[in-house]
Amino acid sequence: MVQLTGQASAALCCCLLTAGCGVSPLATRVSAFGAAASLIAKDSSASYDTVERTVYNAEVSSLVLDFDTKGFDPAGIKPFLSGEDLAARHSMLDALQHYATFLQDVGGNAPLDAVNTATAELGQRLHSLSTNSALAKLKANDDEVKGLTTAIDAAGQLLVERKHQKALPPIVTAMQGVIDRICALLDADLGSAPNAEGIGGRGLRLQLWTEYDRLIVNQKTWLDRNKTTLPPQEKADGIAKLPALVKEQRAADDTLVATQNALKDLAKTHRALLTEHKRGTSFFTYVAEMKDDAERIAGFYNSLNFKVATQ
Amino acid sequence: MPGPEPALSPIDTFQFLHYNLLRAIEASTDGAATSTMRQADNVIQDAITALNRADFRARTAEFQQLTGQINAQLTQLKALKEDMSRIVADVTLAAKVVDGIDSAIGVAAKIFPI
Repeated sequence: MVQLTGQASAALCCCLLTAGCGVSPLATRVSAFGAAASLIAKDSSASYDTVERTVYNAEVSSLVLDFDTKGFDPAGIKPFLSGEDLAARHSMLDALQHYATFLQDVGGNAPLDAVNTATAELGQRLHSLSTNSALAKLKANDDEVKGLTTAIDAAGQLLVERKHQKALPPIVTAMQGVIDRICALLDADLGSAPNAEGIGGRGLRLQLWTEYDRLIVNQKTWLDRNKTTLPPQEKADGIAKLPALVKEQRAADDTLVATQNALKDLAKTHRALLTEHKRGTSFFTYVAEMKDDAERIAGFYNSLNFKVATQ
Repeated sequence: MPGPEPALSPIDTFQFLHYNLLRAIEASTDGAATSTMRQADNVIQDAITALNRADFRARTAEFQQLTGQINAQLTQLKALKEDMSRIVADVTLAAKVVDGIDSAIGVAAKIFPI
């Protein structure tokens, strides 16, 4: 009986291996996309937080400057976006993050590794069974146990792969329109900075730009008010903050632009999940670029020090 | 002959005013003048913020709608993940069954020597 099982397992192995096991190109792409998309969702979320923190810092800067004449009005410090508007965006980005994480999980090696682990355990148990002294007469050998285990492993992997091939394309297809719309809406939210004539600004980039303007104006006003009484070093430090703020304003805007570009890549790469079957290399180039951009953007968001400019 | 300049939208009009006040503040060396211009600029910036905020508000409903659409696909992905877990669970169960057989044969061999 054991010998039959060994032969059958060898035959089954051949069939399954011929059928083609291992992670399919689609699943691999889906997983790689999920990892990069997850980073971009985090960066997009960080862009709202960055603007809110800058608004807060500009408000505090104004409070410090006006405290002697206006005192402190708790209602005077307001967030840029209302709770409902901000929550709607964070909820959508959280859902996008979950989508990316699910793709990463189901498309990657994890399901196949789990099958491997479970079948290795089964193989170990079969080996124990074959060495049971009570079954010594059946003479099951290691090769037969290995053959059977490999066949079960291949069958498990084939089943996982069939699930990938059947379930992933309709999900990815259904999400394409959603992803396109998300990217367009987030792009509209990110908007544009004012042009050289000072007009045409929109969205987060406009808000971030004008909040930095407010920080610069506050710093300049403070210097003008106190320039005759400031000790030389403190005055020099105060003046040095002006170009530093201008530099930070441009760098912060560049990061929002980079987030916009990453979102354009996200929509394009998601579309390539199903269409670039034969051009896997270019797909992975897109993903690698997306991931690099997303990591660089996250690095900048984390590096902003957001110190109140005045004093 | 060039036509008339197109009218600026309200948000661009306020940005134009803000831009020119900002340049004046930067060039000013008079503390009192800077303070006065800053107060005017604060009012203009508040108007820019209010218009910008309204623009965001106009898109909020669509963000909420898209969240629902993503969640619908998440349900599908969750089901796929569970299907895959079931395959692993089946193999794990087989290992447990074999283990049980191994133990049972060990006990049976003591009672009924093969």
